[in-house]
Amino acid sequence: MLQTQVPLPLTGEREAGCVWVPGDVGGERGAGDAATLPLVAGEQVFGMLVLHLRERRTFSEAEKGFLEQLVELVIPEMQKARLHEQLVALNRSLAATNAERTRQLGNERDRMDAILLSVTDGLIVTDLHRRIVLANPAAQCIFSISSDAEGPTTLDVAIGEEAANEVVPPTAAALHELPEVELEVMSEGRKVFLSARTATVYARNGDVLGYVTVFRDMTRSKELDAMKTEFVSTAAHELRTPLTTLCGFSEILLTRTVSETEQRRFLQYINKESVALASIVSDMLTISRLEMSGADVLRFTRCNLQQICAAEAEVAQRSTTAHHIDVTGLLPVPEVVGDEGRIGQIVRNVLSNAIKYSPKGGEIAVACEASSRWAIITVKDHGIGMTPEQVAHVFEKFYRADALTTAAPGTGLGMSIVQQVVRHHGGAVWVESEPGVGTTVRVALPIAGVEPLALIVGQSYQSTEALAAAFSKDAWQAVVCETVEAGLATALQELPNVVVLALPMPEQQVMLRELSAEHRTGNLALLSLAEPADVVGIQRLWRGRRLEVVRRSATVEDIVRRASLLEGRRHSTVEVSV
Amino acid sequence: MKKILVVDDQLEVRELVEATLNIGDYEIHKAGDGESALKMAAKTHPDLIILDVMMPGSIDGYEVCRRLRANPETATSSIVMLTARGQEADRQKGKEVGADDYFAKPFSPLELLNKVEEMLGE
Repeated sequence: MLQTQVPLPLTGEREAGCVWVPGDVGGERGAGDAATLPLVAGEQVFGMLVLHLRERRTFSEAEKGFLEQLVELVIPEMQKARLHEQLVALNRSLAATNAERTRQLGNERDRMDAILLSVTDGLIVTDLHRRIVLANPAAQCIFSISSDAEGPTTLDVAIGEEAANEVVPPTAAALHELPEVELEVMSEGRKVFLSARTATVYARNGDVLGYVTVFRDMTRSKELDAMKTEFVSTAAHELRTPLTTLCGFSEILLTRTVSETEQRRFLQYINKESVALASIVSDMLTISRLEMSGADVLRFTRCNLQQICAAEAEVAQRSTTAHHIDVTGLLPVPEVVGDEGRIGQIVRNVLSNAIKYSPKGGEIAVACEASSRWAIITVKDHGIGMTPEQVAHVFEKFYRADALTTAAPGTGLGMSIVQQVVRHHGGAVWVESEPGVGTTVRVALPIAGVEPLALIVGQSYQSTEALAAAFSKDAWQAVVCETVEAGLATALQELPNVVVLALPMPEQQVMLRELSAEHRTGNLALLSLAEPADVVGIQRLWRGRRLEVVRRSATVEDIVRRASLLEGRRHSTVEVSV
Repeated sequence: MKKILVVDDQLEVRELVEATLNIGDYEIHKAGDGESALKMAAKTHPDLIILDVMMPGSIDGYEVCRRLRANPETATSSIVMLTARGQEADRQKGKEVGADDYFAKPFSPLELLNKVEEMLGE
């Protein structure tokens, strides 16, 4: 194709759309013929073929014919080219739409997975034949369902035919929502109480597709309920026992004539039991309030532990002639921020137990010493001691080791109160004992002005350094250990205020078991970084003790904040009077 | 003279029951735990045993009751159980081990006296 700068010849003869412009052959400018050949196919215009002859002549007929044929050949090719372009564009757009759809689906799937994963209750979807179509991680855990088709594949196999019949009865299709069913299953070797709620799943046209059942773990609830009932029952008993004396003897004094000696004796009993009753009521209120609101009932000041222990030791010594309270180990220790009255009470309770459980008399040593962050009070007796079983229950309300006698002084709440008070001081208490040899009770309270210590156990890829930095920023000391062994050793040595477990779950479980086994570390405050599906498992390993579970995705500031709450002392709300 | 055995680990309660029943013409024996209660029952053959449920030691009141009933020497005594736990389940258990009656603490000495007189038919 020839393109020149000469303006397009749009005038001239038109032959089948072609415009043949005669040139000014003989004229001044001496231009040859020009031609404009439109490249058009039906409605589509592809362009124009514009030709100028350089020679001063006209187009021959043969040339015209040739050019027209040329146009005829070119047009289809241009059509093809355009179609090809359009095809490519369409293809590209289709691919983009596809990618977008796939991404959306992926997002939906991720969202669904995230929802199912974070539901801590077990969720199982079954079809009309009670085959398991979907089970979330929590359900997989409870019922040992694995994703690769080993383990139960039908609800009947997972929970037993009888239970399955109750949870998803054959009549289920007729009901929209079924009543709650309580189940007992064995999960990982433990008895677990579940509450199952089933709803029917419908297709858009109303057909029944299957059923979705939510299983909630009620084991802890049931245990708490049982404990509460036990407490109420035992409390009633404890209160009625002194009341027996009060009611009985007072009635006798009123309805009968008794000798003066008897009168006096009966009145003494009445008085003694009234005092005992007052004591029980007071302790019961204390323990209830400590457990409920805690810090509200405590007033913090700076306390001199040596003085407090010395005072209590004196009172204890006066109550017994059979025992000698040895105070040579009472060394001056740095001040502790605490409620002086309550600290005195816990020393009193521990001493009272030491005396009570050394029926043959003997030495009872009271000592206090300090480590870098803790002031530790130790009371050691050489009495009857306790078995490991008894030690495990020693902080339970109304638990009386060996139940010496219901007539023994004391309310059965002494050690529960000790534990609660210690917790509210951010401290720890532990008991070592051997039957026939004696018992040692140790109370550790944090020294005033010393920063609390966070022990972080995890690998560096788990952002342990960032976490340590965040703790430091919040006026904590932070130590990082990379292995379970190092973590255990440090925990035992330093008694950190909070242990942050960042390790993978299997290692965390090992560490929890090891920490449990040691008296000194058995009461530490733990913060576990884990996913919701692991929460129940962790709670089982650290039952009844201070534990927080935080998602791994939490910010380090969040973790530090939770750790502060867990540690027990509300730094910001402590009033320190001089 | 009718013989009564009072079993309770608390000294005051033993004295209370004794003081309560002193007004009648009874020979009163006391025991402070399950083991001595069984021994004393076998020795003195009481007509009535007033037995506390909650006692420390290896055997509690229910067990003592069971053994008393199992032993032909003591099986014929009337047994009244005394307890600070007043729930239905506890009463039931008392019946199961063979107690004749059940008294809740705190009790009125007058009522106890009436009950004893009724049971011993005087």
